[in-house]
Amino acid sequence: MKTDSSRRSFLAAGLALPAVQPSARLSSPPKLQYRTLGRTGLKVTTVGFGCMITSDPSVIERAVDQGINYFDTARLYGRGNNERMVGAALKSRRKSVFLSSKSKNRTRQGALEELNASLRELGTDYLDIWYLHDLGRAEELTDELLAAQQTAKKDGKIRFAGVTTHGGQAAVVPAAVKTGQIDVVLSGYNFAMTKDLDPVLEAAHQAGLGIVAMKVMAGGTRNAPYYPTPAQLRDLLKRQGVMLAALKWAIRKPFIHTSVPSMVDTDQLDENIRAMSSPFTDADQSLLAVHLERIRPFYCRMCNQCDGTCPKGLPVADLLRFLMYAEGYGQFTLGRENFLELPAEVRQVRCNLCPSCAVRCPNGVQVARRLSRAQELFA
Amino acid sequence: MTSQSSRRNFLAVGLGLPAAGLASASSPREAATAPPSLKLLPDPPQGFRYRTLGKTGLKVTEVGFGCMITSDASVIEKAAELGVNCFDTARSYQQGNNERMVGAALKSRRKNVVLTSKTGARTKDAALADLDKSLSELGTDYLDVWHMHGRSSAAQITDDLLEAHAIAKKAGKIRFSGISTHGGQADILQFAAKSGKIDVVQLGYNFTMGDTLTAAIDAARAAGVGLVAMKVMAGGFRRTKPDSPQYAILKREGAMLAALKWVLKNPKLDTTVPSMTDMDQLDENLKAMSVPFGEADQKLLAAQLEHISPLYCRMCGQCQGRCPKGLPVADVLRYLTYAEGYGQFTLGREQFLELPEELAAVRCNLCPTCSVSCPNGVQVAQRLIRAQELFA
Repeated sequence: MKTDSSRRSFLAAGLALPAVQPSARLSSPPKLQYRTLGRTGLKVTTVGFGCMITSDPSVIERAVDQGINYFDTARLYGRGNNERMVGAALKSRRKSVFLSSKSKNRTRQGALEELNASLRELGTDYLDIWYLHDLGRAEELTDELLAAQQTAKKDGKIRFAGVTTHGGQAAVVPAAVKTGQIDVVLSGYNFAMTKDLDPVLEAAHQAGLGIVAMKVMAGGTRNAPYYPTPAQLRDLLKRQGVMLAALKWAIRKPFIHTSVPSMVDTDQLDENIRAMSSPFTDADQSLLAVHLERIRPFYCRMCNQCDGTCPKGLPVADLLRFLMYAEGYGQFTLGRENFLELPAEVRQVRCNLCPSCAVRCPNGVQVARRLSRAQELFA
Repeated sequence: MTSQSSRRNFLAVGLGLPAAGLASASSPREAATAPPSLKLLPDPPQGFRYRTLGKTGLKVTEVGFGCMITSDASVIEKAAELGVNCFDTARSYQQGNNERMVGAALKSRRKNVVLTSKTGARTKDAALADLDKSLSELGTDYLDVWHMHGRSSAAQITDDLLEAHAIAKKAGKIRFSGISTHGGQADILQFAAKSGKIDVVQLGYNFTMGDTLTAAIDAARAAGVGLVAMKVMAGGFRRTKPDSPQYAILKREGAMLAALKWVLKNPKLDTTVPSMTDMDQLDENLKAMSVPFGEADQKLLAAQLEHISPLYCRMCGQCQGRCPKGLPVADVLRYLTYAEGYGQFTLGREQFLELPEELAAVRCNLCPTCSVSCPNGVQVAQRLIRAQELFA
């Protein structure tokens, strides 16, 4: 029945009769799910769009066509080119979507200058959310940066203030709540992470903050031949939609208001949109369990327990993340560029020169091997 | 014959059957209709076809791999594992990161593949320094072919650069010398045919070009120059919108595969280096070696040509020098194609930002009329304005 009527519309359109324009690939408009982003009151789709590694603006345009209404970028993505692309893709629809960007600058003036650059590159006069990018510890949430956000609010350049954190949730999120000035938290959140994260985010949700989940796919690893998985298992996981299951897992709890998975092509977009209309099932749960075993030796869950345990001072979790960009996300250059921004003394360390490794991962990541691999690829 | 029997052995091994018994069915036709029980196995590796890269004598797969925009090393590894044996990169790709990735992906198979890189350096010393850097980044001690990158006229092939190539050959750092060319292909091909010092030319070649290069290609071939086709997909532009007149035909996928097959039906080209960013594209492109170009492909390409005519620069070079503000029109159109056709926004913008400041500052919408007219129907002024809006 449904197909018939949409076919009918299509024929009508061909005859120039008034009709609903059929979408390019789906036979009917996708079902969307909305939640309120805490006290901001923004009604966001539970699947948003993380633009960091997208290189094709038409994927973003199509996402807007399909009804996704939250898009996230940052000043430093794509060496400053990502904002320009996102702005060009969203241009005519700026008013109908919510847009966030971030600054990693740690001074008031520097951050505000970056905000101006973001607005210029995005071709807009306001951001819906402006994040302080990648806070690892509560102390990084300084009064100076909070004041910069308040200034930007007063000037009408941003509507809401946020923080992002990859691995410092337990400390950064409560600190953000305590300031009373942070409206939104963008946090790493996925099926591989500790369950202790739930009460932290739930408390922030209760306090009225908006909660956005990132890193929901736990490192991607769609192809990742480096991960010694029998090809048959890899194909099985792909066929059954393990990435979709990961996304459904992340948005199944009501305290997660939206998510910003990366999407590089329309196949990934079309798959992710389905997370809003199909419930998380037992089958998804067992799929994720199998997948988690597969990525255990490789994927850093960002629990931060290795922080400070390398006698050479390596930022272990960061290095593992850069390697994940290359091998899991399939973004070699992104991984290498991040690596090359490390201080020279850190870049020069070679883990295979240590007789044994002092870093122990409680989750089973083979740290020394992975770090050697990162050094071999990037250094 | 050979490939059939090795396929058979492969299947036999998979089933743990004695291969000898199966090998008695020796004609290709019989082999193609394998016993039903064998169909339970996953598809065997795709059929590969090879050609000889001119006087280099290198046996290359008809479908090679252009690595420029690939960000996922696993796609390159997979291609090599399946049997693709020709990989192309350049010193400048991805700010120098592309060679590093290609090297890591091919590491264990270096000896089994033909590896090519390029430098745009204009002097002997700079070129040789780039070559050393390429070798260290690729983790190899030789290149199979080293190209002078992006030459658009014979005047740019200086004696200084030819000497750099001779030195590199003698030092064993490169096996063969090449030139890559986007515009001015005919000039470069004729030069290569005459010079005797050029083993390979890598040229833009696709279905939009028709017969325009035939004479130059014939001359180069007659001189034994190996020919590599790049830009075989004519800018990509994979997607059409439902409001496009070509949508009815092009919503069916396959125009990209048809474009690749169009190139391969010309036996004068020895191999191709299409860009591939994911496994689906890899799988699709490999089919070009086993599925012939047919009428359906012709129809798809006719529609694709209509679709891209206002957008895609065919690199005929006729607009060169026509813009009174001095814009390098074909280059700017190419940068826009990177963003909109290839879906590589950053690549397009970064190339645009490398233009001299006075050219990057030109705004075409300030000209009352545009004096550049494209013989192939590209809406030049509109496209240049778009590029300036996106990139400047």
